[in-house]
Amino acid sequence: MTIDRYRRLGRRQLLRGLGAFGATALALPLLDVMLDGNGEALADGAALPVRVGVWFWGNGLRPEHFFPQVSADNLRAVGTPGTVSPWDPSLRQHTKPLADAGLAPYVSLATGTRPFAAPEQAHHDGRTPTLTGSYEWFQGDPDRGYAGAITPSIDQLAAEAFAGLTPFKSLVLGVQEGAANNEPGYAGHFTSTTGGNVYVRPEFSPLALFQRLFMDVVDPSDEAAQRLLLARRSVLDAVGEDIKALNRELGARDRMCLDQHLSAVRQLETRLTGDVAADCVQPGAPPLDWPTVGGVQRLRDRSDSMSEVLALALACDLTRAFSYQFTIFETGHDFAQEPELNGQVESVDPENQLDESTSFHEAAHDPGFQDNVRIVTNFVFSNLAYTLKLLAERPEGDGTVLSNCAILATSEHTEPVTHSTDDIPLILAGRAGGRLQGGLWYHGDRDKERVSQGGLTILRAAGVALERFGVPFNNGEGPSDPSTTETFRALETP
Amino acid sequence: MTLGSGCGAEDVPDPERLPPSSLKLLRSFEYRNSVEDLLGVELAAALPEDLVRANFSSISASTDCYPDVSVEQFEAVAIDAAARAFSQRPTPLQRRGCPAATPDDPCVRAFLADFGRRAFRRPLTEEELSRYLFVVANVAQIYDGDAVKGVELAVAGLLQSPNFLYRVELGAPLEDHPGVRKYSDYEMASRLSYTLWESTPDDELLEAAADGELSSARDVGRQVERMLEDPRADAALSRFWREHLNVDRLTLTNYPRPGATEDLYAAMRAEGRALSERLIAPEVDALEFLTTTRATLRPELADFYDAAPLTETAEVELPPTRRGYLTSGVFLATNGHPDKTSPTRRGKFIVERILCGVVPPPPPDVELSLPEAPEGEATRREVLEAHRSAPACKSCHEIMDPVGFAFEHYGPLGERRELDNGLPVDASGEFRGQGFQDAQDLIPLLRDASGVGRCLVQHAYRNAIGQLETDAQLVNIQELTAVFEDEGGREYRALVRELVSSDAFRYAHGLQETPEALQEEGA
Repeated sequence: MTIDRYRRLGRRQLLRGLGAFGATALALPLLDVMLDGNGEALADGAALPVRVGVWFWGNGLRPEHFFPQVSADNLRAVGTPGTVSPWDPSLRQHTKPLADAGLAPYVSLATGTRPFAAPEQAHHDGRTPTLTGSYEWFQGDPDRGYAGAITPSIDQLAAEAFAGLTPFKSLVLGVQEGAANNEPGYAGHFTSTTGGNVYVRPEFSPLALFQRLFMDVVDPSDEAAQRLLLARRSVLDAVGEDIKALNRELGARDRMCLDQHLSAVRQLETRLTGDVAADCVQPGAPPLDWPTVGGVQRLRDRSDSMSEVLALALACDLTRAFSYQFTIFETGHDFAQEPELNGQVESVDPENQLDESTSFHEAAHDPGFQDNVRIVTNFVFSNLAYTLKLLAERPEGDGTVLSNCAILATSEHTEPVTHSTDDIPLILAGRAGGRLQGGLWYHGDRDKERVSQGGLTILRAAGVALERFGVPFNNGEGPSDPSTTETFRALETP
Repeated sequence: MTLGSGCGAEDVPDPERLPPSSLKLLRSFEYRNSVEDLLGVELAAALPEDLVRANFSSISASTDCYPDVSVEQFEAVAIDAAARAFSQRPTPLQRRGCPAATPDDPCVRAFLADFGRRAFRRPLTEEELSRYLFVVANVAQIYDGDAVKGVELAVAGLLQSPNFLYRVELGAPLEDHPGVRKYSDYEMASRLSYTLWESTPDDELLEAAADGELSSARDVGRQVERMLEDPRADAALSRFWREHLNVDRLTLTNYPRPGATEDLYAAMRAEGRALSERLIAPEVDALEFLTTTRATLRPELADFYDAAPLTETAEVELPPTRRGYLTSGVFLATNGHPDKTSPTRRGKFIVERILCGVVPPPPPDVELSLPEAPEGEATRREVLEAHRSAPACKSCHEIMDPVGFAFEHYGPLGERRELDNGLPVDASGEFRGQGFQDAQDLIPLLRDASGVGRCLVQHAYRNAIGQLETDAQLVNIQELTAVFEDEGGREYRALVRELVSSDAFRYAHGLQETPEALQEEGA
């Protein structure tokens, strides 16, 4: 993988003559122009790219509105371990938006897992094994919020594996601003991590993201701009040399920061080459930005904009790894700010409106608040459906962009009342170029199967070669090894 | 604590008591101040707000890494800032009388060496100077021989170098004691400057470093005296309090509360900032943050506190129902639930951040929510007391709740109230064997409690070092506390002076590792 495919393809030549696209919302079957005659591979013979993504929401769901079957006497004892059943998402409130958007053939569920052999609780113990395959490491007093991921999350593992193939190694996006419950500004709450207790702060502005992706395009006839590009590359070259010179006797954390820094500089330098300056959309109308106004956030509006930009980025093959943090884990967001949840949108049935303005995580501990948890989670899933639908609407090869994605949608625990990490929801969306089956529900035996199998299933389906997901870690105490070498084979195409 | 001292040799500190050294990211305000000090232009771009670890941005700066987006933003900002600096007349080159007719002009080299020294906080190596002179030549060629443009871009490059974007303060092992790393004089100039001024060192500091005058504690102390006199020190010193007391974090995004408005929160933050500024003044007892009866209030906050009405912001005497930080809006609103008070959270803050006690996390498998009592049937306190009787909960809640109950006269936003759920508030209790009737009674007990001074020193230490202390470093904190409480007169400014001259600030032990590396080490 020493040659950058996107440079080799000469995107500019391929894109010439596609015509003017004025609006960003236009579906662009862009990769088609790069395909071979059969539409099944890239023009150079390589397979169509599979993109890896994480779509995360905080604070779980209502099990009875999610699990495909619910036994009256025990919500946990659903299905028969080890079975695979066809799944009808329209039967449950949470998943109904997926069915309504026609996404059932793209989406499978995996339940019946645990992070560890013994059930654990709390947000960290769910998030970290699910997203990184590893147990969370505690430095000093865990109550001071000093816990951290040892190894990278799925999206960052994919970013490393696909490095150099696309102009952007990964996109780390977020919708809800503000930190997890009662710890504002804390750096360890984000979804995407590079390991080593370092998390990637998401980009929250769809407009800034759009500009970063598409607006740095320089007209070849603009001589002043062309010169500046050359000058900037010369500068970045020197900066890269400085980083390499500094990267000598350093501690592990410092080496990690400088490695990431050098990679970001090289990535920018490559993007500034003329070959990749042309993009697959003409800079038309930028997306609406939906900034926070007076502390009030409009998650639906911002998520719609963000999803539209993300869909463009994936369709244009600008990146093959992303993390989409709809809400942060342990989210303290006040969902009653949302017009469709607070009665401002008249068409919404009062049964689906929140009756109080509150901080979600705290309130969701209260058994009396659970109908509001249902409403909020329905809202979350309809946003998930929108993100996925945009990908399913873009043709690519003989399928759609979503056919060539492997996305894990998940949260850090199951139901917020107990914060149980038994049966954490694992939604596998996209067909990974045919390597994943859609429309199935797999229910495992939670004494045997680990939540981290979801991540490994996604990564292997996308062609990321990993023997084991996460590192074994026990340190002589605490939960046993959460890492895994197993995937959910029942969801893979035989 | 000295391992060995001899004739002419310095006292070498015990390595176990020293923190490891690491690169530090520039925080947004440090980056902004540095670029503005170096180039004399204001930054146009908004930088993302700084993250925190263990409540301090300085700890995040030595723990986290720059995301790709920041690296890209630094590039854009540097290109833009350099372009604006060089579009001024006279240009930075002209101010130094350098025509820069060609890239080989000796004054170009001198200019870059000087700018680089200020940007990197040390002289450039010959290799680095050549590297950026090459940029000058290369860019000049792109621009038809325009060497000034070349220098402009080289300046933009120096501002993107890791030697600028990170505080590279790693120290070097002492020859006879390789376990102890001593910060070089230039590294000390950088440490002092960013800790006390939040910006790049001035010429005097760099000259002191060049002359070897930042090696001893006494030399450092001399510079520190000068630096604390400078108004720039006020921002850095008060930032400690703003972070420690959660002042800037009170926003609607972070703390959605029914009835809260952006204006009210802004007034509460302004009160907290004014308090932070008062606490750093000479001869002020730092523990006044608990007991002061003065506050700077905006009119809406004066109303909210039932103080005498104001028509504009003023420093006033608080009404008898308020005194110090613990009855301020910032404390009361950031430690609670949206629509209910949380004596537990208020108590937890006091136990952890004022007394430095340890509160274990709740055990697994417990229901954390409390039932709602119908109006007039039970107060919040009664509900809490009834439901926290389970042995698993009791041991911790006994630590937190009793001091938290003292603040039940203040509602979720901090509004004064006599009734809770229709019943009279009972704010009485006992703290370390002494009874109190309410918060006004409790607060002086807290100020006089043993360990309060030490706890403040512990947080100041974390903030200045940029790391959580190890157990072996607790003795450093004890020694600093002794000075703070005796000759220091509990003055925060004096504490900082002591801290930045101390061994823990001037020496290090080892390099900072990541969790994974530590794990391998332990395995």
